[in-house]
Amino acid sequence: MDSIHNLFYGFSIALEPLNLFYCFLGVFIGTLVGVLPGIGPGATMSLLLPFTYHLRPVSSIIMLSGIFMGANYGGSTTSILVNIPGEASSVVTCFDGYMMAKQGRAGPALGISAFGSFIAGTISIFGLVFFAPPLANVALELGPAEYVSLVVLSFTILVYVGRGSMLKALMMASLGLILGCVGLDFLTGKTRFVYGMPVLLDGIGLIPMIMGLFGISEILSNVERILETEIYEKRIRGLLPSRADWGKSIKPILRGTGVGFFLGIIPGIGGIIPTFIDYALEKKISKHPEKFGTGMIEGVAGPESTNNAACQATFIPLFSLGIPPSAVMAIMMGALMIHGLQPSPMMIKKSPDLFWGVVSSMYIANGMLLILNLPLIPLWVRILKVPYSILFPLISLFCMIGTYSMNNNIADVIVMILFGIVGYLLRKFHYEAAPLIMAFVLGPILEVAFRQSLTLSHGNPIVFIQRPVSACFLIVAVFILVLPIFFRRRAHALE
Amino acid sequence: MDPLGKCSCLFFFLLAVYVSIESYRIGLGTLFHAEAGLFPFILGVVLGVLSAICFFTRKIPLGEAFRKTGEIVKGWKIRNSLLVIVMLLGYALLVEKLGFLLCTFGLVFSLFTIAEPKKIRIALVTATFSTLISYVIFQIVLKAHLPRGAFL
Repeated sequence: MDSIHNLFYGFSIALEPLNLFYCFLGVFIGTLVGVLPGIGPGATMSLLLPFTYHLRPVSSIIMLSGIFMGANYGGSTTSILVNIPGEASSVVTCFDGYMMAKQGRAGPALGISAFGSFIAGTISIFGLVFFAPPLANVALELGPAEYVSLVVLSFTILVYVGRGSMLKALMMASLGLILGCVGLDFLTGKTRFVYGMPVLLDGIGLIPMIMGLFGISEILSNVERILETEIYEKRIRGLLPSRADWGKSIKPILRGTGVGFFLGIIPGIGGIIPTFIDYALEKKISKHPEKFGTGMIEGVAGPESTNNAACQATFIPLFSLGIPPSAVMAIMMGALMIHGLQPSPMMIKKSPDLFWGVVSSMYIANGMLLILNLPLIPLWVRILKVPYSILFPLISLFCMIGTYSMNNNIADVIVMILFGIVGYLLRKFHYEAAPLIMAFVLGPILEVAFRQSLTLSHGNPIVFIQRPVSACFLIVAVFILVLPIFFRRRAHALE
Repeated sequence: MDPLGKCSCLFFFLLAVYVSIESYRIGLGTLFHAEAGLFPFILGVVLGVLSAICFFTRKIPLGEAFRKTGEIVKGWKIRNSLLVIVMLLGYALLVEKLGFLLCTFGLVFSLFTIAEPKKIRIALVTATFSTLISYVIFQIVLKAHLPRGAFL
């Protein structure tokens, strides 16, 4: 019952005219971003972070959440109409969505995607309401040692499910933690890796780094070959799915919601993996698995619902544990820290207006997205036709001005460009930036917990194994690290 | 084989050694009274171990890895990307001297012509509109205090 009362309290905050406006602005910009291939939700959120300085913390997070949710919704439009995912978690929608469009069923594909996302989002928000506060209460029992082990476990899961090499992902996480050490040591006041540069005294700026790694590096990659895309040109008819379409889609939507929600909670999983798992599940369950990839509506309804459910669920570890489960949530965490809020298990109790306001606004955003996505599809199709040669100068300009406007300091802009080059080189050498960003954001918190653990245990490093919960987390982390070696040996033995 | 991986792992190993030495110089303290250098030292060691494993699991001689990496790098189509980097750095270095309006116009114009070198008119129109709109949004609406330039 408490959660229901708190939810109503949250609605009283989310329905304030200004917050409604920022919610709408966020979902509109997010959908626009999601529709455009070439700039993802991470880059957009990092672009707009400096502008949220001037907003109240609640309004800022409402807007950023709207962008994140909008990008997930909008990504499906490009997947279906252009066969290019608007953002990474819409990859799976391309398989059947584009085929449906080629068969003249773009309307039902877009429609079921929007409705499925709405249903999944609505159910997931209630999951967020009922799971996050109890999880936060459990997390309050965790001490510094457990926190260190939980962060280590999160990194391990993140690198395990990452697309590339696990070893390289762990190296990126280590590098991110090292970069987090730059600046003044919080305890002793000594400078670390500053070399007399005033701009580094407070550490490397989160916004210049994120904008460089996500925004600038993406531009540098995309500008190598500016491709012409073939866009679905026919008039899109019949956005409302038929009864037969609903009959085929309702169970995949509900299954997708469950898969997305429970996998999205796990730190490190993000939004991409659950969609692949759900697609494989739908194919396995289907009476006609051979037809997947030829335009099956189940292949759109399930993954799109999974995507949106996972999107909502990723807020749970952030708000209840203070651990961002993905790079995008790390940006959200950065936004909270910029406003002087420390994501932690205490955050729900200390800032109930923030948590419940954001949760309620997410429900409102779901409704706005359903209204935006369907009637505005012709607009999104037109925007898709804007050449990248016009888009990327504007995106570059936004990055430059946004970074400069934080502190009116050109050094921040130079840091951003340098990280843009770093991000570009990381892509070229097949390293992922996501573990680096997550580690950078978590690094200072991890260091505090690590040093507290050692102080409390009088310098005994065995404390991480002595405490049972911490030991469990570490055992699971080691198990996950060892698992690929075991599978590889088994595969060799079978050969 | 992965020659790129071999070379990059070597780079990260050298970086890890540097971080460890620098952290040692800052001071490690003890586990009970950790100094500022302890945490980055541990991270440097971890990065060193990981990059060493990565290095030695790539079964390609180092010389051959360097040679193949050179060939791969030569094949990268990075002309446009390099031009963008130069323009962005130029903007950063000049904007406080020449002012926001002039530099922004120049930046958008030059970036557009990287992708579409023949569409000068469109570049001029895009650059003009972008400069004016961004000035209105950032200077007037958001009150961002953009640089006016040393000559104003």
